Amino acid sequence: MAVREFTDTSDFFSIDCGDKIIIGDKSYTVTGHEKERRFGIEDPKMWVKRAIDDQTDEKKIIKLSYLESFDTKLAGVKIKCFRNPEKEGRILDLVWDHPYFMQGKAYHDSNNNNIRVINIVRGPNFFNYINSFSQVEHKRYFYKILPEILKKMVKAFEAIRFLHNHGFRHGDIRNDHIIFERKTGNYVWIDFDYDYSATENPFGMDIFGLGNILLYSIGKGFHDLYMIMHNTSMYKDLQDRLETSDFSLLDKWRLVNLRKLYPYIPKMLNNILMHFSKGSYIYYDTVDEILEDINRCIYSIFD
Amino acid sequence: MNNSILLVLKDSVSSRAAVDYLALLPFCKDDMFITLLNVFRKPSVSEELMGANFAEEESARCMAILENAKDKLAKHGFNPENIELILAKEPYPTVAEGIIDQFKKGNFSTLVLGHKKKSKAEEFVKGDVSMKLLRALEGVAILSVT
Repeated sequence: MAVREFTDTSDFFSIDCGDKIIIGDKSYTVTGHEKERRFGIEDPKMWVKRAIDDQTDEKKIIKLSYLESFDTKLAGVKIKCFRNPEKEGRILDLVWDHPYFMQGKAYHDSNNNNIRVINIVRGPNFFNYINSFSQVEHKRYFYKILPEILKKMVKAFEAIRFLHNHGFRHGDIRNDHIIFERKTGNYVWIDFDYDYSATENPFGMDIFGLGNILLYSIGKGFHDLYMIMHNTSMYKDLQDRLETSDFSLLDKWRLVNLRKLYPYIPKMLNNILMHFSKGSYIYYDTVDEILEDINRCIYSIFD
Repeated sequence: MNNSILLVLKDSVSSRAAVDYLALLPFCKDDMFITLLNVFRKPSVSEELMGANFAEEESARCMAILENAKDKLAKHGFNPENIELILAKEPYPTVAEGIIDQFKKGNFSTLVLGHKKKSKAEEFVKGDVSMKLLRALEGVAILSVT
């Protein structure tokens, strides 16, 4: 069967393994599709192709234009979310050679669809990386492993500040959108094509995402009410000591006040997390503010 | 202390409440200078999709809001010659940034604006203009009318 060549990628569902995507004078052979991997479920993303550069044999990720848009609700607040391939393309230009962002180039096909050709970042995502410490007792993790994680995380947070300073949002900050890059040890941000409508707090959801990453790191995973109520051997009487204000501002089941679970977490560090709790009256407006607090903790608690 | 007030308006219940509040304050109204301001925010994606006609209509609508407020204040004893209207059509990233910029261009002693009550979550996700102004401005009385 003749190899199919695509210069127009509008119908990305029909582009399959063995097909070639032609971008200018470059040609890429499709080898598969990327998958969303969460909670043990693999969901194929048909607009994200795995491919090989026919000239160099390098493996690449090719992201095609998928203009998905939907409304979501967080704690009763409606947010308009959409994919914004042009934004991702512009960020790729901005972060060229930046060690804390995935690298790639944006092109347009014959039908003006945005195509991003991305270098693969090799390593576990942050979700799996922190999970790899599941057998380590929390106190030991907190004093021996977390300090190094926080120091690297500061660099990753600074990278988000860099985006914000240039007027861009990451748009989908979650623990599987950071890769612990094996080659460098850096925490590298991936997948910034998501965007959301924001009015007076344009970077609010990014900052909330950073809070979740920090919570996940300090807690060595998330702790939700269901776990706390059903795993009494681990959480003991914690459920009897909790108040509504101990939980996340935008996720009423997620514990934020980790000091109630791990009392050796210093108040100063726990207070950063409490900015994201239902009990808070003060929120972080900028990444700078959260960075300042984390740095103060690193030097006064762990050094 | 001068007697110049910046009143920020948009088409909302709380903005109308702010105009009513100011109109009924027991000032020496003839001596007051009032600037009525409407600030344009950079359009969201859905607003952009509505096109140029929508933007023009929006401009006319906002000017009508300012003119109605001026009439109301004049009826309550303010000197219409001391009331200035500013339609800041060059869009700002956020309304708060627009107000701060316009405030700094003038010489105002008081800033009045309407404030819609929000849940904490809504305040975090969508932001709060009054809170941002309280954080950013100094040497001014800020009246946030709910």
